[in-house]
Amino acid sequence: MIPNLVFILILFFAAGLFYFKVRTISREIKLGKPLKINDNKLRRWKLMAKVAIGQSKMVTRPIAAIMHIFVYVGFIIVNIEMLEILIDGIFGTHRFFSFAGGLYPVLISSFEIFGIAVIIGCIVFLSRRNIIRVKRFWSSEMKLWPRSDANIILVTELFLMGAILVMNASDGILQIRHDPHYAAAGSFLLSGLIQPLFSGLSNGTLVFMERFCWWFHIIGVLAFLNYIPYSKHFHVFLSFPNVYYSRLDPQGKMDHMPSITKEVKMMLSGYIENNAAGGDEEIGQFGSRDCRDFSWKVLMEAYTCTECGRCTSSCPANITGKKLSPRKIVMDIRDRLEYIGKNVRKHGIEFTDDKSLLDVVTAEELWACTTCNACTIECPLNINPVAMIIEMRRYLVMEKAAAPAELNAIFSNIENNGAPWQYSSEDRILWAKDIESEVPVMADLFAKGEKPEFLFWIGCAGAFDDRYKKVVRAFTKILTYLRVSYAVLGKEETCTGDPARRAGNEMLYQMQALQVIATFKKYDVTKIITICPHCYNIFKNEYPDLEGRYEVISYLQFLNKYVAEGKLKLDTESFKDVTITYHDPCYLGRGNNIYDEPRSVLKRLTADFVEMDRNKRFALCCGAGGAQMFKEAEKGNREVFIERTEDALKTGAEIIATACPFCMTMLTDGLKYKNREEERKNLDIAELVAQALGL
Amino acid sequence: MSVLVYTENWDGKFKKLTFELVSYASGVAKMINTSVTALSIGKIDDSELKKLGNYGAEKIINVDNELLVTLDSQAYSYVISDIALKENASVIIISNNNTGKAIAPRLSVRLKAGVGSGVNKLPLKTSPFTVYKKTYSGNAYAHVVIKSDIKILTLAQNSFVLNETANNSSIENMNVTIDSSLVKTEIKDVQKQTGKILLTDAEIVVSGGRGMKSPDNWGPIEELAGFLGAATACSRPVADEGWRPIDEHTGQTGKIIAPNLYIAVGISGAIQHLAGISGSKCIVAINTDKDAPIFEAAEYGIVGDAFKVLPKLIEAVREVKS
Repeated sequence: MIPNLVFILILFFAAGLFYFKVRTISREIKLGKPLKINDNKLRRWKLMAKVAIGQSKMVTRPIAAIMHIFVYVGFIIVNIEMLEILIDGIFGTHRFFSFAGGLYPVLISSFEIFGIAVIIGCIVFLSRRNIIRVKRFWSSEMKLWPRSDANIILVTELFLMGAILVMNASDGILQIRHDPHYAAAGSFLLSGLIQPLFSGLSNGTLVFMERFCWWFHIIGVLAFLNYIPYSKHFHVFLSFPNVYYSRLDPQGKMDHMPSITKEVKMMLSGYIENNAAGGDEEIGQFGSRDCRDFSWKVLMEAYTCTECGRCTSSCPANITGKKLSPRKIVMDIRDRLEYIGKNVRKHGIEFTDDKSLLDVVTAEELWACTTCNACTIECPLNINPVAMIIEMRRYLVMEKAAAPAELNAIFSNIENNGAPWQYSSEDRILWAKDIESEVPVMADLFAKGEKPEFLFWIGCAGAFDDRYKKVVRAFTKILTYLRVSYAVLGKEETCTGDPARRAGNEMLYQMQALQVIATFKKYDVTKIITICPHCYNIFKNEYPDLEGRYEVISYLQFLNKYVAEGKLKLDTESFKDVTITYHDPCYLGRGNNIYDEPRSVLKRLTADFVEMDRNKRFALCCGAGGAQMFKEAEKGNREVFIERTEDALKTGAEIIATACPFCMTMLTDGLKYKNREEERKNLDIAELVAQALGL
Repeated sequence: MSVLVYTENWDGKFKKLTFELVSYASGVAKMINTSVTALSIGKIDDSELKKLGNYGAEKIINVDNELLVTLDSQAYSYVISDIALKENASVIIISNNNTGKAIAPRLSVRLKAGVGSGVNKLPLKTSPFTVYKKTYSGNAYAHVVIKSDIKILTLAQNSFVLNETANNSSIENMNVTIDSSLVKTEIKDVQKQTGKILLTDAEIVVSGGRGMKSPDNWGPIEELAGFLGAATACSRPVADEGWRPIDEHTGQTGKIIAPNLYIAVGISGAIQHLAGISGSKCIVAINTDKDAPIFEAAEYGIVGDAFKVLPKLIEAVREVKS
């Protein structure tokens, strides 16, 4: 009776402790701003089944994935044995499930197999962390506690699994010796193998060993349970809700800031519209300075992070030696939140201190992000560090006016000239010099009472970058060739606001966006073809938040459709023996899942299409996104575009095909750095297609 | 009534832009039938001050004070407005450089004076007082009417021809009492570049890009710049590779310049570079690649090998100069 009572006491104590800690964390998460997520329930359950239960995002790194599956499945299966241990413990039975007869040894043997799998997994993990020293486990934020945390967990699991095996082995010997307390339950597969080790021991010693391991295991498991919420290991619970509440939007979309819309509409129109989208709520602070400025979802993500560092190891800024590490940002939010939570419990909800998250997350880290979303795509648990970074940029820019000087310059250019570069909007149509007659302008068509099917959006680079003008001209020729009904806005175009938005200047973004939407409305625009991926993404994913809804078509989708339909008959001789590789722009690839269209067009051009090592969702950014194009990079070992150019050169391809003006600037520069611009060409897909059409 | 011109000096020396300002002031003074008073702040020799007379300043005031050793726009604005009132100035003329841009708005508030910024021609009319300036990146001209009693004009650099007129000028040292609390800046350290024409001041710039192949090939660029009295610049890759000092880097993220003549040698003309030089009055490009985007931006282009073109260009310039 006494062991039962002791057992029940320990059990309640452990469960109680665990409950209180989980409640504390839940309260800390709720310190975040409210956010309603109750849409798409079925889709969310499916996503959770796939990403959290099915671990679909782990598989990209096979060794870690297999070992993780060992430990993960082992963990779940062994918990079935835990159930038996609980029943035995409470009711004083021994091997309660043995009533299953012949099935029982099979059950226990399979538990043992999984136990061994866990042991193998833990040993591999320990050696990856401590012997092989995989780089991502040794970066600067992985010192002290985060490093020992992982080791503590792994070593504990080794001991727990070891205890089960020793327990079963002793039990097995005692069964064979017909000890009255150890009724025959059958022989167990793996522990049977270590029985010879203990065969010389007396029954008394074996009973002691069996009992000791039993208690060690159950107390160990309960202690472990209470350790988890203090550890990165908490992901075993939080991953499920965290994935369930994932953002379902395309990765390229940035979170909307409705609080600012009213302000912007007032600024643009000079009066307050009654039904302005912002509503009447208090405007408050823009962006995030501290943990409580984020939504609860961001805080949940911070607690879910398991510090695996896949985000950091895929971050272009981090790869090239910059200070930014997405994992550190997430960990900083969590650590700061723990601190705030502790003080809120002590001093009440009004607690403030003179510090903030921005004392640990530096501006240098925040401004190094290219918003390429590699981290977000990599995260096995759908954590979104880019959204966190943007929120803090918004605070720096809109509350503190603390953007880097070069970005302030582009803000004023966008505001005054409608482009990040200081060119006059009057010159926006100069790209069409000499082919004006081919290029219909919206205002002219409207004056004649005509309405084209498509709006062809040129973008600032197409209008002003002399290199990219050639790409726009090439695509225009294709449109003319196909006799597509389209028009351009010409001088009425202005910046979509993308660089401003990615640099945290939401106010300027919305000013630009609302102007563009008004222009579209004037001409009743419904279908837009874009050539710049940044314009594509913002029209497709972000303008709808401002009531600008259009069918947005990337020129790659357009080209692919016409090529596949046979309406664009490419001369297969032009590039027949030319090796071509393709660099995925972040805002078409990761941002909007456009991977296949460019490849299928290129494969029609050449039989010799080669991929870079890092391609599709793992493609490395060119280094120019997120307004990086307009500023110097933060201090690091090297430039991102050189790293990416090396990827391209390694393929041996003669042509590096790109599909974005920024990528083109970066990779062309890269070729020059490497002194390879004579032999390797960087061309846009539109140029290749136009050439293959003889245009 | 008078036209007051603030004449900035650099270590006790005036620059060409100072004389442009005085010439311009002299032109304005003629239009409103008055004389030019030049104001110089800080330590400067009389011989240097006298030079202002050659461009039409009748009265030259020097205010020197130990608090005015450092250019502090608040303190300087205070001095200029004080003198403007004492001299009963109806028009104040300042350069549209960084100093002028910092001082003009402060003066405007102190004197309740309207500002015509970045003007590049004499006023069109004096009644109403109407000035002429470029707008929309130089694609249009604006006529700006200034209605206040005192008018402030900031003159764009390199936009007004020097006009020497013999004049009997008088130099007067004046004292202005300044509260030391007005001076909010302190210079801790000055690092000077010597022996070169400052890139941002230069009227002619010769710039080299990666097409120059190696840092050892900069000889012709420097030689040409030497003959033309030009500053040297470079594109970003060149600065990044350490071929040229980083302060020569011209472009979006480097220096943004607007010389009268910009000679780009071996520069392809990526948008990030053009963004820093597009204000140049005349761009001349030398490049082997006839498709290089720089030719779109250039007024004159030479398709050819810089190592062949430059020596000939230097020879031609040498002949003209001699």
